[in-house]
Amino acid sequence: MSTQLTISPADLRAIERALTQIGSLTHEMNQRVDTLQDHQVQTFNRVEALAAAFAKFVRDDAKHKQVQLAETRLVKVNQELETRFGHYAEVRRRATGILQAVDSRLVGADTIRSTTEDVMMKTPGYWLAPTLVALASWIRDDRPTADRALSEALRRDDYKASLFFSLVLRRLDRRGAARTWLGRYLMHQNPQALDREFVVLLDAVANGMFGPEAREVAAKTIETWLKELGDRAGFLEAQEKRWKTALEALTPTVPETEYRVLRKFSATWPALESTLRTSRLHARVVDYFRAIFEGEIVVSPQVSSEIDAILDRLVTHFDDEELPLRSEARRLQLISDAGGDVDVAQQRFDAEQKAFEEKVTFTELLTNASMTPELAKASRATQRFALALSRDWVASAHGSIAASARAAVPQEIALQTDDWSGQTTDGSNEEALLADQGAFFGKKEAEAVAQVKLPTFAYIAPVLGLLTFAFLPAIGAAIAVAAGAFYTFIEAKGLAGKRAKIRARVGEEKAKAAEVLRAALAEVVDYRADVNREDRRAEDVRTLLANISPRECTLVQQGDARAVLA
Amino acid sequence: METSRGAIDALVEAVAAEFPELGTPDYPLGFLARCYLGAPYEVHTLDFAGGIICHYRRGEPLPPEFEKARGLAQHQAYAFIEVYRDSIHCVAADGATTRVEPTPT
Repeated sequence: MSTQLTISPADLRAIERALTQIGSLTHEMNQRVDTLQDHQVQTFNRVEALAAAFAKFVRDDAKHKQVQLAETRLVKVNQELETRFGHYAEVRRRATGILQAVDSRLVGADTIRSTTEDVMMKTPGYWLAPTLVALASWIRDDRPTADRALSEALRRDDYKASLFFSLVLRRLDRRGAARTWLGRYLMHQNPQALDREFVVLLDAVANGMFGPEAREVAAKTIETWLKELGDRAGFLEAQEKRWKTALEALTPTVPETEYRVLRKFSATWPALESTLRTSRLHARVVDYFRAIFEGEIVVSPQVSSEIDAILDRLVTHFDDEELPLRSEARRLQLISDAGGDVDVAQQRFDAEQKAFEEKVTFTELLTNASMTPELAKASRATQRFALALSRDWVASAHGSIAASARAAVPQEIALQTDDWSGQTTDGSNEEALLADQGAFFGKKEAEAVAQVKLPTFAYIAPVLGLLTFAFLPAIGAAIAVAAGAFYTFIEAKGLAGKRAKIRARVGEEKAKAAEVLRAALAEVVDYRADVNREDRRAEDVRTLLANISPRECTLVQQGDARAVLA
Repeated sequence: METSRGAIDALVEAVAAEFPELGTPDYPLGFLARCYLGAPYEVHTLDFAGGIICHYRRGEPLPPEFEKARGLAQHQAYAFIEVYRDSIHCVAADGATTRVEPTPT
């Protein structure tokens, strides 16, 4: 008797469906993981943008607070100035009034006398008060009082009183007396520590307002000073250094709209920017000096009104005692003007500080009058005069700036995009750099693709299926083997897609990097051309300075002065 | 020979004692100028009479103290560069000189 075993075909549709579902679920999972990655990148970018915005907000807020602080302090400083020195302003106003009254002869001698004596009482210690009393006494021909007042004025401030009388007497056309007072004023001056008001005198003499007699006196004095100063060891070096600082204050900035790629993708950018700024300085210096020497200086035929202006400066400008507060007020004002940027304000303040100094050397005065005429209270004539006298020092300082900048121009310019980096001299090695960059990304792609492998389970899944023959019925084991093989098949099929994605991503990175590289190289070409073009302007500065004729612009005869400077 | 050497040393010492502010004498180590042979040559060294001593190619090392003058020697604004131990003096065609103290790199 034999038994017949009938095997009916197995219905595997359910398993197939399940496997298909698993496949689609795996595919969906992959998609979700990709989406998640994209979201992560987006989130990262947003966080970075937020961090940048926050940092900007903090900076702006700090600046805003600095502005508020500076403005509050400025009000206090101005109030203090008004409280402590407000009465000086009254004396100054009266001084101007008295001078005009003397001219117009509309005010009686008694009124002038009472006014001057009144200010004498109100401002003990201020040099202008006894000076006015002396003037009033002189007008009404009261010599004993005039002498006493004069002594007091000279005691309080010999320099200013001497200058005041030299200016007033020149205005009244008493040239001999004016020259005597001028000589007295100059005699007390030390070229190593000149008073700020000396520039007022220089202004008057440079404008020819004192006439030939006073000009001769001043010219001899300046000649002697230059000889004395030139004999000192280290003088020329100090002058060069001073002028370097003054010229460097004109250095322009490079607008952020320029060289956008190099700014971001070159580690050499700080050196590039610095040399670019210095090379652009030459054009600024040329323009600045040309503006000083362009046009004629027409000395007004109304000498009286010109002297009025100079005299007005003498009696209306702030006094030495007020300097610390005036200086603080200026610093606070600069902070406010710079929008709260304390560093920028401090830099400007330091550059201006020389002009605020209570005592200056004659050569400092020349620098101040040339470069900060508004602060040094120098007229255009004085500016020309000062610059002409300083011509050789300026040329030396400018030559030094130009040479230092040329030495600092980087020979090799570093470029980097992501992890790739390269170097160029003048942007001409584009092909080599692109090839190198391409090789870099090729390697990066190969490494990334090599990382895409089948998971370990995909290797052992079919084997595990085979092992089930040991304890499962044949049919069940066959199903397990099929399931394992199918899983492995799905995973293997997904590999190609992942590799393609990686290739696409790296390819995109490569294209972008190549674009950046080309743009950077184009900017390198622009930079070299820019620096060379601007550097050639240095020759214009040399020519311009060489063409300044000290004979035309200065009081000192060419031969002697240049001999000292040579 | 010894006597004259000793006399020279004594003279140097006497001058140094008289003018202490002058410091250690600083003589030029040599001169470097732009080379007009064209690529690959970029600079050459000169003797005191202006004669060429040696041409240097781009990237070819110069004597150590001369390297600091390499960039400026190639600049057209200068006829040649005087090389000192701690500084260089750029000399223009019209004789104008500019002292530069290279910044340490």
